Amino acid sequence: MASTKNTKRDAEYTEFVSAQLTSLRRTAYLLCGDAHRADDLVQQAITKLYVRWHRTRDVVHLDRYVRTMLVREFLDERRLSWAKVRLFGRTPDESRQPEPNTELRLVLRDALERVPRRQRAVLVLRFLCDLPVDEVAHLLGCSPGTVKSQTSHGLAALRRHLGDAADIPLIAAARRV
Amino acid sequence: MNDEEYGPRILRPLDEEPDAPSRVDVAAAVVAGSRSRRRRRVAATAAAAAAGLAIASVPVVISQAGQTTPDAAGRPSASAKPSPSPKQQYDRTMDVAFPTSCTGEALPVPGGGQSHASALDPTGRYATYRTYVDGRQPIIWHDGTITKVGTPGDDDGLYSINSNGVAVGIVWKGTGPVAIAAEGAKSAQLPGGKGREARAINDHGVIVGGSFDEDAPLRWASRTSQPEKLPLPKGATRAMAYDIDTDGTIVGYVETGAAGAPSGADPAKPSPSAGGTPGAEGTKVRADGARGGRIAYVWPAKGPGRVLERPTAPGVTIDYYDARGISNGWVVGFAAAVGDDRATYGVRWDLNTGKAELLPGLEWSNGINQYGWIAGMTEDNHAALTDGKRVLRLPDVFAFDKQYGMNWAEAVSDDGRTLIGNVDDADRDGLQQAVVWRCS
Repeated sequence: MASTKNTKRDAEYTEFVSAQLTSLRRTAYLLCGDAHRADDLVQQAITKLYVRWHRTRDVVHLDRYVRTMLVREFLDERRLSWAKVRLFGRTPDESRQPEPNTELRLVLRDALERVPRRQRAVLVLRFLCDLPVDEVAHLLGCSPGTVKSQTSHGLAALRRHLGDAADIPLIAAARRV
Repeated sequence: MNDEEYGPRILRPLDEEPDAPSRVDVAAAVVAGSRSRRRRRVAATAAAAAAGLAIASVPVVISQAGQTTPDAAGRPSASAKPSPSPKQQYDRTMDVAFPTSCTGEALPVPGGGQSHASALDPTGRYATYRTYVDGRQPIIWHDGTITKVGTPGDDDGLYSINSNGVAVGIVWKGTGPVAIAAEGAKSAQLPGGKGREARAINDHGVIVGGSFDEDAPLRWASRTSQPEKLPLPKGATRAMAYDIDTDGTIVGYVETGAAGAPSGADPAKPSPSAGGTPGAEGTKVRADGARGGRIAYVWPAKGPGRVLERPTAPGVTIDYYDARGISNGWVVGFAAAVGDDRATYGVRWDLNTGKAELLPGLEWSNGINQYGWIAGMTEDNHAALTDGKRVLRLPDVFAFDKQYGMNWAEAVSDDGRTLIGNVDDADRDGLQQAVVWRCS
C-alpha cells in the first residue's frame, strides 16, 4: 500500500516539476545570470520541494510556492558563503567560453550583477518575470512599499553602474519595437 | 520616465533563456529528497524522545567515519597517510566539559526586522551581525551592548571579530567590496582594500581574506599594513583565505585548472616537517586539478603551504572540499561527494596529525573552537554544537517554520559556552533572526 502511494506521489511530483522546469530555470537564470548556477538553484529548490511534497501538493498556487522557494534559495544569506559550491561542478575553461550574448546584454548583465542581491531580485521578478508588486512582496516576505523602494534603489544602482551605457538599452529597445 | 516605464525597458534585453542545456535532474532530486526525508523522520523520533525536557539536548553519536582507515585502492586520497607528527604542536588537553543544555535569545534589532549573525570572538564577549533597516547595518555586540558600525550600506558586513573587539569585513561601494576593519562605531578601509574582502582577524590583529574574484588570497600583517599575496601552488586558478589561527596559520582553499598543474617545481609543495601529510600532496593537487575541483589548503605561519588531507569514508569519494575555520590547530571545512545525490559533509582536521575526519550528521559546519567543537547545523535543520561524537541541539528560540525553517549556529566561543547563529522566524515568513545561545 505504502509503496503504491509513494510511487503515485513520486509520479505526481515528477510530472509537476517537469512542467515547471523551463519556467524555473528561466527565473533562476535571470536572477543569477549564469546557467550553471541557475541549475544549482533549481536543483536545490526542487529537492526541497520533494521533501515537502506530501504536505505541499495540495497548495493552491503550487507554481508560486516553488518559485518562492527558488527565490529564497537565491536570496538566502547562508548561501553567500556556500554559494561557490557548485553541485554540478564546472571547469574554468568552460566558464571562459564566449557566450552568444550581444555586447549590450553583457554590459547590462554585468551592471545588474553589481546591484545588491535583494534589489536585483525585485528588478528581475518585476520587470523580467512580470510579477505584480503584491506578489513580489509576498514572495520576498516584505511589504509592497518595500518592493517599490527596492525597485527605485535597484534601478538607481543599475543606472549608476551602467554610466554612459544607461541610455543604450533604451535606444535598442526602442529600435526593436 | 518613471520606474515603471524605465525598469522594463532597460532590462528587456536580458529577457532570455539560459544559454546552456539543462542539467537539472529531477530523478536526483527524488533520490536526495527521499534521503533527507528519512533523516527527518529519524530526527523527529529523537526529538519526540527528548520532548518534555525544557531545553532540547540530544546527544547522539554522529561520526564513526573518522575512525575508519582510508582504503588502499590506489586513489590519491587513500595514498596520503597522516604524518607521524614528531611533535604535538597544539595542546589537546581539555579542561572543560561538553555542555549539555543551552538557552537562546535574539540579538537586539534597532528598528526591527531581519538580522543576520556572522562572527563571535574566542572569549564569547564580542559578536558581529547586521540588520536590514534602510540597508545593511553592521553591528558589534559586546556583552549585551550594541554599537552600530558606520551607516547602512548596500551589502556591508563584519565577518570576524577578535578578543580585542576589532572586526573585519566589507562595505559595498558602487562596483564591489572594500575590505575594512572596524572598532567601536568606526570603520576604516584596509590598505589595498578595494575589490578585496577581509574574512578573518586573529587576536594579534593579523587579517586574511582575498580578492572579490577569489583569485588572490591575502594577508594583512596589521590594519595599517599593505596586503601580501599568499603563495599558491602552480596551476591554481582560484583561491581564498578564510580564517587565521592565533599562531598565524591560515586556512582556505585552492582550485586548479582543468589542464592539470605541474608539481615538480611547486613553490608551495608539501612540507613533511609541518605536521601535514607528506609525500603525495603535490600529486594530489594535480589529480584534483584534472577535475577542476576545490581542495582545502593551509598556509602555515612559517614554511610553504600545503593541501589538507582529502577526507574519505567507505563508499564515499570526496571530489570537492575546503577549509572554513581554524582554532588551536583544529580546522573545520566542508566536503561534497561524488554520487547521484551529491551528499555533503562537515569535515574536521587535526593539524597535529594531519588527519581528516568526516562528520556525516552535520549538514553545515561553520565555526570551530580551541577544542575542535563545531558550530553548525544537523541534517534535520537545527542549530547544533558537536565535538565529533556528541551533538547538542540548540533551542530554536523562535517557532520552527515547517516550510522554510532552518536554524544554524555560526560560531562557538573557546569555552563552548557561547554560540551565535541564525534562526528562521516563523512569525515573519521565514526571515532570519540573529541569536546568541548560552550553554552550560
